[in-house]
Amino acid sequence: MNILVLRPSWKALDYALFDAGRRRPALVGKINERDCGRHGAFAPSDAFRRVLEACRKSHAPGAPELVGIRLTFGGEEFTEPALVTNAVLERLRGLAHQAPLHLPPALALIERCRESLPEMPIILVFETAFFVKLPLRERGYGMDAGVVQELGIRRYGYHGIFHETACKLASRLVGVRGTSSCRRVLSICLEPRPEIAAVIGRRPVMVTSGATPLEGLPGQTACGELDPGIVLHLARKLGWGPEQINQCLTGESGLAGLTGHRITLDGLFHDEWGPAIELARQVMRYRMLLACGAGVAAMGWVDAIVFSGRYFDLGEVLGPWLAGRLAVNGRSEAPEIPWTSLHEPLDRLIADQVAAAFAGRAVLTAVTE
Amino acid sequence: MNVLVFNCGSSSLKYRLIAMPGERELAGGEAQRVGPPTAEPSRIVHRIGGREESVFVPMPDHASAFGEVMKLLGMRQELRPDAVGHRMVHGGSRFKAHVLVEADTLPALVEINELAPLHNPPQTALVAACRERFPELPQVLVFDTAYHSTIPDYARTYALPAKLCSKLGLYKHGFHGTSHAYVASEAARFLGRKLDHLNAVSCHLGSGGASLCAIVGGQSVDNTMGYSPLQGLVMSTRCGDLDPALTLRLLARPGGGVKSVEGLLNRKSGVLGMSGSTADIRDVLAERARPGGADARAETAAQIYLWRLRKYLGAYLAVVGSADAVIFTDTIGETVPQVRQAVCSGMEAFGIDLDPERNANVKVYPADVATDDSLVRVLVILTNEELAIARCVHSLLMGSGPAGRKEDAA
Amino acid sequence: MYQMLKARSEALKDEAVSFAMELVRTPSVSLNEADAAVRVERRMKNLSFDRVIHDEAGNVVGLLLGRKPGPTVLLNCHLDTVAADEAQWSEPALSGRLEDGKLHGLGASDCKGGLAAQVYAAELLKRSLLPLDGNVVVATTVAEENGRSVGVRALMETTLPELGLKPDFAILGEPTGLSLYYGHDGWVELDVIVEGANPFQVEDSARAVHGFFDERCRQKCQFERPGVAATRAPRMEDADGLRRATIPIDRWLYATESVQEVISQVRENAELVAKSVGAVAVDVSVPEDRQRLYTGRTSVVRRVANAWAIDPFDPLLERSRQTLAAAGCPARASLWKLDRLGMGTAGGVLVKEFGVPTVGFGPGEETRAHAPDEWVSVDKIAGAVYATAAVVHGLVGIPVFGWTTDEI
Repeated sequence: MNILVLRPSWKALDYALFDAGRRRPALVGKINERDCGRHGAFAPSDAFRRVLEACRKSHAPGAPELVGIRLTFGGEEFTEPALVTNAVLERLRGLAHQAPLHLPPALALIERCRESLPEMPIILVFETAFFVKLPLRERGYGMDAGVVQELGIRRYGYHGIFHETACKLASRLVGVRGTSSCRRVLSICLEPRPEIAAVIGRRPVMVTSGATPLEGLPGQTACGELDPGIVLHLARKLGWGPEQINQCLTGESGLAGLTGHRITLDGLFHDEWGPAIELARQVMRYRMLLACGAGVAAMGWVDAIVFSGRYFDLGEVLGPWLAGRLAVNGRSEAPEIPWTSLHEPLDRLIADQVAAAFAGRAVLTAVTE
Repeated sequence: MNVLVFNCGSSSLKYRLIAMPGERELAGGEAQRVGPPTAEPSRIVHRIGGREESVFVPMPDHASAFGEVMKLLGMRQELRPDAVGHRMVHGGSRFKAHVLVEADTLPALVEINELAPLHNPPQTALVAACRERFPELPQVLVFDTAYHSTIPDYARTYALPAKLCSKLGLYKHGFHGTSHAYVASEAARFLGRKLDHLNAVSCHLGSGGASLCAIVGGQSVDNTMGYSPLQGLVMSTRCGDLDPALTLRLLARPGGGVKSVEGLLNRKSGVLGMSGSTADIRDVLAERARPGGADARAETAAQIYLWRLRKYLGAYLAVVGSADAVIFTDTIGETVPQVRQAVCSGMEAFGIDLDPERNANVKVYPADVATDDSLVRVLVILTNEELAIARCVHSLLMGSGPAGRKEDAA
Repeated sequence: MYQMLKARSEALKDEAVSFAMELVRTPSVSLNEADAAVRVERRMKNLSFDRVIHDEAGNVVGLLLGRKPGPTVLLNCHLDTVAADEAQWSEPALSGRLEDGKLHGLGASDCKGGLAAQVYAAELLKRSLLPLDGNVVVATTVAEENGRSVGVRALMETTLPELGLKPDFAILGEPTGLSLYYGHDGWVELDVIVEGANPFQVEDSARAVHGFFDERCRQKCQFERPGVAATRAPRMEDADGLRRATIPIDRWLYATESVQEVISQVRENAELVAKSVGAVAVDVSVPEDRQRLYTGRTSVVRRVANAWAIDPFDPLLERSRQTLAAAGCPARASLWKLDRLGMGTAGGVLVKEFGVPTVGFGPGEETRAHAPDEWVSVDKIAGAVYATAAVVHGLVGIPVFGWTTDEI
């Protein structure tokens, strides 16, 4: 079955076309602002038209038979992949305010997709689905209950597709105690905005991200965890409004803020040198260590570490370092924690989830309706 | 040497007179309701030789409270202080160790007042009054933040634009340093180790504020509080860690001025905000222990409070590496076995094995509540910030310099 | 997010400017706005407004409805212009000529450029798929320039209440040169009436009164702005067997003054002067006009433009300033000078009568309003589309805090 995978965001549309039976995509690309209109205004529906054109023009052996769309947010509603129906769309619209920058363009894309290809089954996969069932103790904040309710806030993870697959992979490792099944796994997703989750079996019990993707580990441009007192201080001292502070915290902080220039996570550990880079590297590593320590405490043990994400090969650097620092029993003579990496790209994982969901679509329809 | 230690709150002034190096308390007490007159009269509760008396006297400010305390002490020759030690909450980046007050100290203190607007100004005023009336009396300032000056750059730096941080001084300061330093030295003494060989995680769990400190070689390497005391653990009325986007949401709400959000996060969040009824985690835990259990809000409060604590303990144990001990101190840490139990059980991964029996029956302090086989000791130690300050004053004036902490353990 | 908003506003620029051009080319002198109103309505219906209403007063209102009942922000521009004095113009006043980045014509600055920008600001939010918590009301109102805000009063009294909407903030698209203006002085026309049985005494008293105010008007006072702006020679007539003189006075109104205060102050002065000359009765009144709107509805209006100003620390001004700074177009906060009489804005009605905090933010320039060879910069129209959308999003949009983080 040929699967077209779409990953919409508010500024671009990534796509990949997978032929039946092949692991590698026959076609892969990205439509961003530069490709859209003479003024570079990205519109999801226009982008979709371009994707279909690209599919037609390519030498891929078959046209898409199934579309899979990855959504960054599915709220508490979506715990599994969902086949698009009117009811599903309605539920998604009701969630739009919770991810105001991501869901509306995705909805526009889905609608356009249904219009252009009325017969095509569309399956949605959600990055947050894996984290919907985080325990109360982990998903809550030390905030006034009324405010929590008013703002509808809770913690999620935003790289659930990587974590879920990575943990399946890790479970095949041989654990610290010599057991062949690793149940308690630290899953480290190395994306531009890295995320660490602690997972027991298939159940996450800790994740670094929060009510929005801003909390947690620093990203390439996002500050991550921050003293709330600093946010207030910026407002008071500089007279900045929340929008301006948001620009600074999400767009000019993280690795870019620490080093003074744009740098990828990969570049940080591989190519670049200098005192600011060295500090940024140490900060990133240190924050990961803290998160891993918290994860081990959350699980009460750790059987394995698994890396995933587009920078998974940083596991070569981080794996031994973390495994050494996290030595079980707090003693270095203890056996080292095994670690591994998930090499597959996100599109492939999405295609797999979509295919599996489609195969069981009778169930799927029943669940989602 | 009689050291008079002042611990100055926003409307109170605690004092203790300690004979050093014997560490014997000669007198102590607290001036209450310092400031403009309130419904109840201001008074000094004065403690001496196991007896307690109340002296009613108006005290419009901390300087006058200081004057009254000195009058009480001045009545007896043997209670005359030879030196004064002040607890200072915030030392900013200027004061990285305790210092003897000299001519240029006061202006520098005034400069950093804004870093801790509730605490530092009355403390600064007290130092000024003391210097004016008793210019001959040596005064030593002991800063809560000073112990954390050893936190390495990678742990004190926020992932914000570097220029912004240096312009506004946005680094982790850490707090409760005097207490963490004190229990660390007590733990070293208890374990029969040199302080500079002690690796530990210290949990200062007060009835108000709370923080954890990662200690390597006797020195602080991280603290859960940050630039301000808002960061880190869930506290009685403070929220602790929060998605920065949520603070922004609050600021953007109608009526969400900086002041009101600051008030919400500092005084109406934490245990109080979650439970809706009490700011004291002990009440929440007591309710939970009742038949039928706590209501949903209290249960949430208990879970989130304990879970955050446990996660940070794990994080800091990972930082410390081979820890010798986990130390619990201050009101909650010393007196609530359920908290220690919830946080330390199932932590074999870190070599912690709590003995439930010992944990539930702590009668003598310091106490070790781990099993004999536990690789990491779990200690319950009474904190004593005043004594810690007196030690600093004594060692500084006796010429052993600000590295007095190391002397203590030797 | 602002980057995306900016890119999309660029894509809307030509449309917004051509709409402004179409409006400039459509005559809409006060009380004769019918053609222009139809064009606004048609345009709004072609865009993505949730509802478009053409009310009885002739105002055209476009709505974007949020997911919650409020808050509601009102974007308001008047549709009418003053009449052009063609002799002063170097080209036809309705040319709507576009050259060197300038749109020329009557009302370009005041405030058809602003009107087009507000309509497209709402459209920009919609096309950017940014969801809203509250509502956006884009109201183009009639009879502002010559009608003393009749249109906006009808909007606030009838049209919006019938829609169940009550604005919490208002932004006027009047000319501010993309600064934030938060108020201006006003003016009032007064008739000082001197009456008496002895026609000579009336005549002398009236001249004395006129002289007194004329002197006041000429005084160049260094420390205080003049109260009286202009006065004209007395009009004499017989009325009910009495001789009556009417002395018209134009009086500035400052934000601290009420019309009543000013009237009694002028009456006191006039009485002192008049009675020292002869036995006459003195009264002061504000002339009223009966106006017929293009829809046929009539109303009586007094010749007053209220001074108004909001607190410089008003949350609306503060939040607008903050979002503009975040959007990369920092704006100065200031007041309109309104150095010519006869000018005013709907702020007087919105702030003083309806208690709606109001700021002005528009692409036109105050100096070019009511002046020959009026023009507006098309870049500023585009800038206003973007910046107004940013401010509106800050006021009623669902905040995107945290979601602008690195790719997720």
